[in-house]
Amino acid sequence: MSIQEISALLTPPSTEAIAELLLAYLSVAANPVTDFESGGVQKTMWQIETQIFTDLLGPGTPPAVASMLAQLAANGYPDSASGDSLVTLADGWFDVEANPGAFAIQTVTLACDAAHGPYDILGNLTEATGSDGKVYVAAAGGTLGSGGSLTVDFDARAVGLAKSLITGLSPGLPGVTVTAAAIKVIGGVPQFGADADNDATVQAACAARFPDPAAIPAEDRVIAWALAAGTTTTRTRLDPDPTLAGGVLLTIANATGPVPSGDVTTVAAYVLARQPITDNITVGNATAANVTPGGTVTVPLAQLAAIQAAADAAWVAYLSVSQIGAEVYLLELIKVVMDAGALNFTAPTLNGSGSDVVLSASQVPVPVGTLISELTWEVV
Amino acid sequence: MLTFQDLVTAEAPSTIRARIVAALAADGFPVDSWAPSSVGGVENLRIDMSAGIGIYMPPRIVSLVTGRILPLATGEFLRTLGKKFYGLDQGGATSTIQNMAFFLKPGASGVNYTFSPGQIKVRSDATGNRYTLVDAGNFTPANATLETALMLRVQADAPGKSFSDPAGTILTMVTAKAGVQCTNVPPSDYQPSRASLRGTSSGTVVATRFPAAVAAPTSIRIRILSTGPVGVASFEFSFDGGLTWSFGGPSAPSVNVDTDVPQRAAVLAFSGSFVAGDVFSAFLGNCIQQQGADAESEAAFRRRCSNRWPALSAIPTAGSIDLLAHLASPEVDRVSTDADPNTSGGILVTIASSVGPATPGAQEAVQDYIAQRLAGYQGVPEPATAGFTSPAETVLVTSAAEFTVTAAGPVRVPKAQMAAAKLAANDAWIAYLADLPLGGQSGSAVELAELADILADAGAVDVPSALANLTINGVSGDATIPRGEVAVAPLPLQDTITWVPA
Repeated sequence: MSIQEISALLTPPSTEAIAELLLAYLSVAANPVTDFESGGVQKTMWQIETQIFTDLLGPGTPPAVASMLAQLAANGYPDSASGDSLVTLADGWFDVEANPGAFAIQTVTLACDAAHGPYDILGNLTEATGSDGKVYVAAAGGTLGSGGSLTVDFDARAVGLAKSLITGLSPGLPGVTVTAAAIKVIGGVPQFGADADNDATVQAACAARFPDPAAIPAEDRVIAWALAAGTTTTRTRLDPDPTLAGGVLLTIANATGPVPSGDVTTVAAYVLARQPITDNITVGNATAANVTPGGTVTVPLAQLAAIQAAADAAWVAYLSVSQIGAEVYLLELIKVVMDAGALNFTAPTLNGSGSDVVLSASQVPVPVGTLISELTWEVV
Repeated sequence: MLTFQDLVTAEAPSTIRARIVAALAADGFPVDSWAPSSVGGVENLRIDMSAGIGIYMPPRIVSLVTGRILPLATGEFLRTLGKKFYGLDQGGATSTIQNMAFFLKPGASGVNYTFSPGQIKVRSDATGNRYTLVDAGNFTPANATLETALMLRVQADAPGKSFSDPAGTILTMVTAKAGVQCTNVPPSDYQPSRASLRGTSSGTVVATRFPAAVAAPTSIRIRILSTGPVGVASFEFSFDGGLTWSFGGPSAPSVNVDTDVPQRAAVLAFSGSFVAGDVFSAFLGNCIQQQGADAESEAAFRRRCSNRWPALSAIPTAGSIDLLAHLASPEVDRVSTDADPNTSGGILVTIASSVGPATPGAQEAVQDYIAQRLAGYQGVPEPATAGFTSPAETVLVTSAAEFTVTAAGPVRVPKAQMAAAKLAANDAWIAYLADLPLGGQSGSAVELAELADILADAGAVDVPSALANLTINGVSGDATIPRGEVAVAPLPLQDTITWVPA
């Protein structure tokens, strides 16, 4: 006999199945039929044994052996496991670490009026609550004197995201009010707490462990790495290395122009850790190509400020997404100015010329000044 | 302490019983004097029952342990493991699709028919395999000869790899149309060629057979070397899937290309304009448009699940290419991957179906599918430096060529087992060949010892005179499968082995 179906594993044998199996052993000629009459020794023994084995193997409560096996089997698969079993499974099989959650911490200032107190605030005993119902406990003790105040940290009793500040002690003390409450900041990190991943979240992460193999990548993997390296990089360009056969030059820039030098180091390390050992990818910073707009714009006086602001914002936005080594179009300058509401735009130029600015392979456009400062604005 | 082997080996009730008896004996019970169960011995009956009930536990434990370990899981446990852990479904059987030519019988007068899907059934008399029409078409008097025949596709009536009838063997119309005959033929000399998936050439290249050639290349790659229209653009070509290239000269409306004429040659017809760097692929036509396959074996499914790990990398690996090839076409059974020695970032992939070479449709599907998913240096141009090429990842997919394997020699088999032995030996031999890797991969050799073992397992008791009389392709030794080839037995062992009654 072998178990062919998981459903068989998940379902302990029934009392009837056990009774049937035992009966087969007893059905020998030497056992007279009369033994199986109601109250007969054989029948009684058989019924007792059936119950014993059912208790051991069947769907008993507390769980019998087979029930535990069934639970063990259920906890062996990510979609049917739960609780700690799921967390362990996710970590061991899928390299998915469930977020265990974090405790919120608040710093609270208590005040006691002159008619009450003093009170002892007891560490690990005095509790407080917020309007979200979350219960906190004082991290350390202290004395709240009559007419005085005391500042104490309160730790959340359970993990979870704090949704409100502490509003009072629980139970309240006569004459005591909360005069200030704030999320504690440790090492620059606010201690809001965090909800623990629930089973559904962990199961979803397990299911996503292996991405759909049929998916078509949206971008080059080297570019994806450069953007994922945790730097300010927003623009990239790949070129063949003219001196190293098969080599590739990766040029990076951010929305304002060349990236800080540390970003180049970070991206290079990130890419190097992921590229095939036979590839040669050299990461370099883009160089700034100053772009100075020129020309005379005519606008209604009443809208001067608004048009200037809108045109400049659009111009900066355009340059911030212009690709490394691409062209900066004069037409785009005209477009942002006119779209902002200008009545006329005469003698438009880029870097003093009435033509596009052609960038070299590693250049990224950087605006010189603003449209407000560089263009001549005439009002009507 | 329990060992792993203890956990994966189901204890039999007899083993459990023996342990209970031994324990009772050790406690001083007179176990040997108890009456046997068969005569109603109460003690033995109770021991039997207790041991028998144990049947519920060992197989459950074994299943629990093996069911979640990829190399050990089988059946539903493996399917569940593949689905729930690797997100993959075990592949089902697929059906063969053939291209049929319908044309007038000799002497028949012109007729007009409308053929509808499901209306026509055809059959190979040699294999008995039947196929049903899946396309619609109008048969007219213009379809008078094979050259002007109406081409429609038919699908095997059952799934499986046994539907692999070669060209010119499906000749019987089960549901006959008066005056019409049929045969299975390739729809054209070569599948219409296309520029590589990301190519930008607007021109086309049509390949046809070179009439005097002994053999037609199974695939032709045409790489454009210089941009321009026909007559200006020059090209190079490859007959071996991109492994070696020959200069073809300027493009023209008709160019003969050959490497060792009259052995292998073809005619290329260029038209339109071409862009340097684009690669055109032309696959030799085949009457089989899609080779059917049996349901995916557990070994193959395990291999696919295993390939999920290397496929996690964004870098193309042999494992990820293998996985993509299988996803691209259900026909794909075996895959080998090499780096292109001629092109930076190039990948050469060789595929085979479960019965041998892959069809042109499968090659094209796999090539497109993989090319779409290569994410390395796409669009990076060729540097100006002489001799440097673009590092952009590219792929060329080719079918493995057939490596025919003929096993011969005498074996002695008890007369009574002769028929069964022949059948069993051939089935095992075909299964063995179907499991061999493609040429050039580790373990790609047809082993003589395996042949001998298969014959012995099937019932052979002796190889008369000397084992050296047993041969593979005329040699009493292993046969190495050449690089890029797939082992195929053209004739069954029933016909190639000399079966001597013992």
